[in-house]
Amino acid sequence: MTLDVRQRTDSASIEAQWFLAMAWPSIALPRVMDATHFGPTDWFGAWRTCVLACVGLCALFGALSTYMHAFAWAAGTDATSPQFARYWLSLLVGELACVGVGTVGWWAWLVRSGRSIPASVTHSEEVYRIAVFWGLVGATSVVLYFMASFFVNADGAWHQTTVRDTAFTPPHIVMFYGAFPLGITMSVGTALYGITRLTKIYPASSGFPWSFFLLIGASVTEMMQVALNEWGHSVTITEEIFSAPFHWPFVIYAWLGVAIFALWIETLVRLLSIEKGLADLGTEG
Amino acid sequence: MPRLAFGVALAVLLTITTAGEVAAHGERAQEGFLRMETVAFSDVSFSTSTLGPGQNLTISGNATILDSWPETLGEPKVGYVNVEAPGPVMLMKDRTVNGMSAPDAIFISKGQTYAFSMTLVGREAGVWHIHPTFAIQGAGTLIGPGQWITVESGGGGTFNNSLQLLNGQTINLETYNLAQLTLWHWLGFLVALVWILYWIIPRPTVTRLAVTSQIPLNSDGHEIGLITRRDQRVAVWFAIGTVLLLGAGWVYQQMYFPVKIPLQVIRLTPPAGQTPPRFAEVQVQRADYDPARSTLSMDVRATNSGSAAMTLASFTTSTLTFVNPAVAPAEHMLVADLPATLQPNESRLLRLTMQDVVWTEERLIEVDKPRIDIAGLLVFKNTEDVEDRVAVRSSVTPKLFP
Amino acid sequence: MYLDRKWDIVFWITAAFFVGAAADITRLLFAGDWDFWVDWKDRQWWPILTPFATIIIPSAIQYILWAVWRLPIGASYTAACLFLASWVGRVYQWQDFVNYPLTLIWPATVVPGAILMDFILLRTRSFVLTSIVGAMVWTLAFWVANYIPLAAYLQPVQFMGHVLTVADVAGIEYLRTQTPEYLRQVENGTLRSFLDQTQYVSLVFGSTVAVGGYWIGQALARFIALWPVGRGIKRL
Repeated sequence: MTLDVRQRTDSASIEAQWFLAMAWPSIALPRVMDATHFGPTDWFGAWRTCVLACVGLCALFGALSTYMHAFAWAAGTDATSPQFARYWLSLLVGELACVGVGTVGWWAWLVRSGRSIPASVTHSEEVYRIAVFWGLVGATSVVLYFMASFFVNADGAWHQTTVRDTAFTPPHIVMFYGAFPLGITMSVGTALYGITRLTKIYPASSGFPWSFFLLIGASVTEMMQVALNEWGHSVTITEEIFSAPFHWPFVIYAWLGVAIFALWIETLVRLLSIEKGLADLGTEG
Repeated sequence: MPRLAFGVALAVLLTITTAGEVAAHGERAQEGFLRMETVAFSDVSFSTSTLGPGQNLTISGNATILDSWPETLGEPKVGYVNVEAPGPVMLMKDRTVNGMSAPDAIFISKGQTYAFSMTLVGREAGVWHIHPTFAIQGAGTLIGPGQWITVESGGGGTFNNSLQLLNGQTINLETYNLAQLTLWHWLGFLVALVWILYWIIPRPTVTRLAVTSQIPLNSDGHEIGLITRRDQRVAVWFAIGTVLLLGAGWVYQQMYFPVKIPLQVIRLTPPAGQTPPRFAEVQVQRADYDPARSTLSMDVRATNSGSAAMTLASFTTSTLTFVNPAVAPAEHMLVADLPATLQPNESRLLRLTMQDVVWTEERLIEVDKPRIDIAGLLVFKNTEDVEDRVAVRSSVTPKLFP
Repeated sequence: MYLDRKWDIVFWITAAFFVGAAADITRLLFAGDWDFWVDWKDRQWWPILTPFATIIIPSAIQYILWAVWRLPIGASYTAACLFLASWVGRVYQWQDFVNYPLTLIWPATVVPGAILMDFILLRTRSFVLTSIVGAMVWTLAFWVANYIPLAAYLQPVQFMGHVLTVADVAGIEYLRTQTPEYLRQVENGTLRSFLDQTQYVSLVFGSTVAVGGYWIGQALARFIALWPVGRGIKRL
């Protein structure tokens, strides 16, 4: 893993040598310090978004799960009881209100502030934004985990244990009306950030990016599938076989989320392009 | 810990509400026709209301698959006698249906009565609302009358669920083989983790795209050192190691668990119950329901075709039993306008009135549903203390205008 | 230069959440019941449905990581993420929330098969060969890796007047109100035409079904993960 690798390539051009340098860590990569205190790829710089968003979402869902563990059995088995209204319908309303208001506010801010961002930016600023973008993609990934695994386990445990009550069981309230809407919030918000801040990667002339379309489609269709799921349960089988055909669209729609890799790859291509441009110029920053 | 929190939260909730308000487990969300026209529970009894961990509770009773079984649900063919509980707070230790041991599902038919008896033991301390249930394929779980059961604390320590194997060994089903299973699983995970870290720690990941985008998909880039001979050797060792691990595990289970059988499925048809005596004939001529007063009225023509006098004792529907106060006091009452005792060969038109807020609370007769029916069992008892349960069903005329 | 190792760290850690979730939801809603309960882990259905359900996302991630970075760790990475998601889900949501013992609800593992499938890709550099050989190895490794812990629960017991397995007893004793026993889709003594070699027939059939699952994963990777790169919709 040294310069010997490059020397092996007899007809290696300077371009090939640069490519090879990308594969091996032995080439010193001097870090660029921006004019600000923290650089675009410092943990306290652009990566702050990633850390705060991911940790914050984990804390939020952890709190919701703790609440569910504490009050699901005590007040959540009978949807007609006053306790259910006090502990669970209130949470349902609170979730929808907070997520709704927060989502609209965040999206609106992204769009409005995006209009005043200068069209051309320095490489440093662009890298900063891509790092923030990766933070948002990471946060979306975290939400998808809680949507499609963490609370799905709770829902399975609940359904296979108690008789089906209404559509608003405690795990449903946390999962379908908390995590699922947040999936839409994050996927659309990430798209808005990308479209307004990463104009070299997502220029308007290229149309609406397929990657965003599929990722947003995953979260939106998952939400729509909730309705089909409830309808199906009222019409056909009543026992909660988890692998029932009515549940399969949840999986199919979740597969659309694989488009998240396209986001990483698209931005990575741009990063490599920036790096190569800098290498060609022989300058830093 | 969350389960303990549940117990505390429940205690708090019970002090500020009536116990009945959190007693339901989803049955109120089931439509009235599903609860009333499918299975009728009668003579349900709980042997105790307080028990310690590992101590017995026996729930017994009768479940009748009514002839009024809704055609929309398909014929009832397979059922399962079970218990509704907030999770495995108790363990099922024994179950008989019409005297036959029934570990798994049973084959059933319409019109039959199944005398069930289930023995459970306490597992988790707390106050739990327990119901017997009868699940029927295509209809779901029909819930019988419930009761609050207290499982007392065992004074610390983990619960031991002893089970003796045929080879004589006694195991604790709560923890059996968990240490080996956990070790096996996490050992495999560790191998995978080392494999992954081998590839992503010594070399960068994201920047490799600059190289890989220049070579064909089926090329591993060994000419330029992207994947080296050393990488290939390491991979071979991981593959061999994985196979050896699987082999060692296979030998282990053959040595330590030499006698194994596949999962067993014991689904049987219970023997027919005792043929019930028939001395009462009933025809429902009219049924009315007043939602504002939560009152059901039924005009029934009852005929005594037996040789002894009979008295209308009760009406059972879903989880509720309305009792004739002349026979016995009860929480829910059934009042007849005329004496409800009929002599042999006598026929009389009785107007039965059941005024009880439970009709509204349980949402059994609702006027905004496509089926406004009443169904259940009218129970007559004769002077020889013999009961005849007659299944009845009628559409209900709701009082929609004051 | 901006591309330091932090990009790698952020990618591998944040991607783990989605990868684990995608693999978990595919398994749970295609074969979940067989994975939740020890008394559903039979010889006839479990070895067919679970390998199929669990190979799809590893196949997709295998393609992505190889195509983009020539890293032969896609299946292993997915299996490791799924492993963590499984254990978090079972311990926290099934054992802690509802108090089922792990003896009843332990999840199956696909880790050994994933390592071998990655090895096959590395050696063959062919997705066609990996789909055929790898899927077979995947199914066989799944059976072996999970039969090892299952063996203890297949020991015979006398219970309710019948000879059952420890797994059957666990399924009867630990109350599951909304899972009546007639839902259990397990080997039930139906027609046999291979001299009682039910499990081998299931493994062979399971392998072929897993090949199909592998190509579903390939389609996901090629058309949903990689095809959209740099492409936009001009008219919505």
